[in-house]
Amino acid sequence: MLKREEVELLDTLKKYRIKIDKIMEGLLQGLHRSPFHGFSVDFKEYRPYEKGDDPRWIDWKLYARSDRFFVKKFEEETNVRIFISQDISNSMEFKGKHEIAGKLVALLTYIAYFAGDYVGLFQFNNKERLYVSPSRKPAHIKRILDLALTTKPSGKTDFLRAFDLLSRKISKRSLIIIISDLMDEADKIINSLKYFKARHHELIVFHIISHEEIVLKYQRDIIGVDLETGRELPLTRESLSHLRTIINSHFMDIYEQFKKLGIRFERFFVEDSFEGQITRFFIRRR
Amino acid sequence: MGFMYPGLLYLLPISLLPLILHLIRGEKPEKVFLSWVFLVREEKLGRKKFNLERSLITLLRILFLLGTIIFISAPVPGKYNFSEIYIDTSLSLKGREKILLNKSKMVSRIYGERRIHYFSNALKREFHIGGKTDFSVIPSSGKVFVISDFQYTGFKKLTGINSALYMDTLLVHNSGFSKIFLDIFSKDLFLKIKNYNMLDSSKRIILKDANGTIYKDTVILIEYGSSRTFNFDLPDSGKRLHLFAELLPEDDFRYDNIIELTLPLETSISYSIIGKNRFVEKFCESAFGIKEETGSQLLVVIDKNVPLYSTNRVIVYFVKKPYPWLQAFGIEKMKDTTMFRYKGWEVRNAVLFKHGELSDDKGYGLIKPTMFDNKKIIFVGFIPSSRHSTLQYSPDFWALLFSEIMSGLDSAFFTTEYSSNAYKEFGEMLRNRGKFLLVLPDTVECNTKIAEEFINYFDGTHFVKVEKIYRDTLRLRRGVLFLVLIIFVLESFLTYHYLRKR
Repeated sequence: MLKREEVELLDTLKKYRIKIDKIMEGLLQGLHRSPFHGFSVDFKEYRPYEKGDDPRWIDWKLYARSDRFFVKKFEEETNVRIFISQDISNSMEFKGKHEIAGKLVALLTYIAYFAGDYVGLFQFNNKERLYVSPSRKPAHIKRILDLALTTKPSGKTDFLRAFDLLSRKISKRSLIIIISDLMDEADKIINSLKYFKARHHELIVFHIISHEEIVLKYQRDIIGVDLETGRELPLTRESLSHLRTIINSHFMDIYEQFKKLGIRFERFFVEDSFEGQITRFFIRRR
Repeated sequence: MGFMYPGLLYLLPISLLPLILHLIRGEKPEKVFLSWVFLVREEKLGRKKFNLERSLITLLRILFLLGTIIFISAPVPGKYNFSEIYIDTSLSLKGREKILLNKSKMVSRIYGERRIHYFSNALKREFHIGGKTDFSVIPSSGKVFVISDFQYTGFKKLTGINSALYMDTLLVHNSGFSKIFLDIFSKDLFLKIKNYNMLDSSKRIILKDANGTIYKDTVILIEYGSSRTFNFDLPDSGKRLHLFAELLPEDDFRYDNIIELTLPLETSISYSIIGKNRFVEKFCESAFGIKEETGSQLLVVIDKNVPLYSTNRVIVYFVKKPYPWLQAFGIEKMKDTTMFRYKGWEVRNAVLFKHGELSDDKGYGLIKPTMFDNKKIIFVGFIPSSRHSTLQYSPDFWALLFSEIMSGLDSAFFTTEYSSNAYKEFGEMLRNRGKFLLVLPDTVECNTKIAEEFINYFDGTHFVKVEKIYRDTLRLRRGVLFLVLIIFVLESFLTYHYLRKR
């Protein structure tokens, strides 16, 4: 039976049409560990068996004593500190990337919560940097969900300044999930994340992207207006191939650097199935 | 180019509307918010190109509106841009009402009813045959087109028309003889010759006088399908001349010469122009023993298929194109006639009159009945027709006719000689038989002034048939409509393509 707070969380997710049930049933079925595991394996406590838990983790001795199923909870499941960094710059407005990012934050938060992880939120642009320290209280989680799903994009992307601040907030080894469209200069992005790798933090980058950003199917001449700066750039159809090269090389450059640094990254397409993409991510995560 | 509804041309500026919209709206590229603009260092990527497709669509829209306005204004070819059309409905056109009405319908389709006027000696509101021709009723202003048989003298002087006078003479061309037809307006020969022979463009015209002396021998070149007009100034209009050419006689005017064929069976066809009363006088003199009283304007019509009755009746036979004044009389009588056969002759459009029935028609120059009291008369018209063989105009034919007339009598006369002497002999023979009086073609002196005026006033190119105007105008209008439709289809296609791309 879900607690009242948990029901509220679910309601929040449902309000934004995040099909948590399907994902939870389909992906986390049988998963005992936090999908964000990777650190300690100390036993922490018992918790009642729930549908979907791996029977291997049922404590049969306790069952013999209490005649109820309990599964063991380990430190690795509960003590993972997750910082979800959400890019809230104006470029995230393109083709609803911001909504997808919000959903992703909410979903990951929810999953981490149920996995017993500590979840914090860090929303950033070049001006505002909102920080919510990691916790696993339902009210805290609820706040993160609300922030993730309701904050409107503004300002420019500035990885350097944003992650400079974050670096000061994080002391323990943590899992840092970055949800961004990576619309900043490649060097700045890489340099901002290098620090965390050096401090042995785990980094996962969800690159929110639209097909339109890389395919560039414009049938006529347009004036491109930068979502963040407002700069206008007259573009002819003849220049599209050149633009594709610029954009692709930008991303490929970043990806290459991520690989070198051992930063995991996932491309998350706005137009593709949200559930399908997150499912694939967790399957690979297993 | 003229127009049936020139007022609609005030709508022409509307056709510039697409251009104005094109210029006002311009082609500003749409602003699209993008996330990656910061990646591009250049200030501008690519050069804006001239949008050919959009400009073409605008041009086609202009052309479409332009064409539509021109089409609904009902264009008329420039050379036929007449301000008014006058249709002669004088009495001389009696019997040609149907033709005139057809022509009237054609011109009304081209120019509209408002520009059409009927006239004889006064302007009329409605089509009604009657009255004498008087060209003075035609206003002298504007470029007018006159449909008339021009049975009138001095029209130029009277009307004072300064602009070119166009006319359709209502002539129905002969065919069947050869490759050329001939218009004759007077003794001063005014010939319009058209070449129907695709293989031969050279035509020879030989004019001889009565003695056989060649007066004029001309070889002319006429392209196949085209025509030329000539004037032969004859030295003596009273002389009998022979014209040798591959020519056909055209319809005659009331006061024109009668032209007869004399040598039709050869490669060239010969015509004889008979001087005033010369022939008839000879004939009548021999037949009746009278000279001066033969001035009747009785037209004798002879056809191969003439039924010959040896009864006390008068036969008037019409084929296709009788003289107007005779036709005017005969048409009414022919209403009930059907084809019948007589002695192997096929008879069409024939009517039998009892002697004396023609007495009411003095005004049209028919014979005075008293002149031939107690005589049996055959009226035979000289009527060319495509259906008839050349024999009808040859001496052989005349001989055949006489033999037919004389059948059952003592003898038939046959001769290949065509001369006044031959007719004299015919007349004598007939008189002796006491059975028939054959009145042969009477020629009256033509009014040479008309011919002079025609020749002096027109260069020949101003003769244009209503049918040609109608045909050319329809072709022009259909052409414009076709173009408009093509432009519409093209514009629709390009617009669809253009919008789809957007």
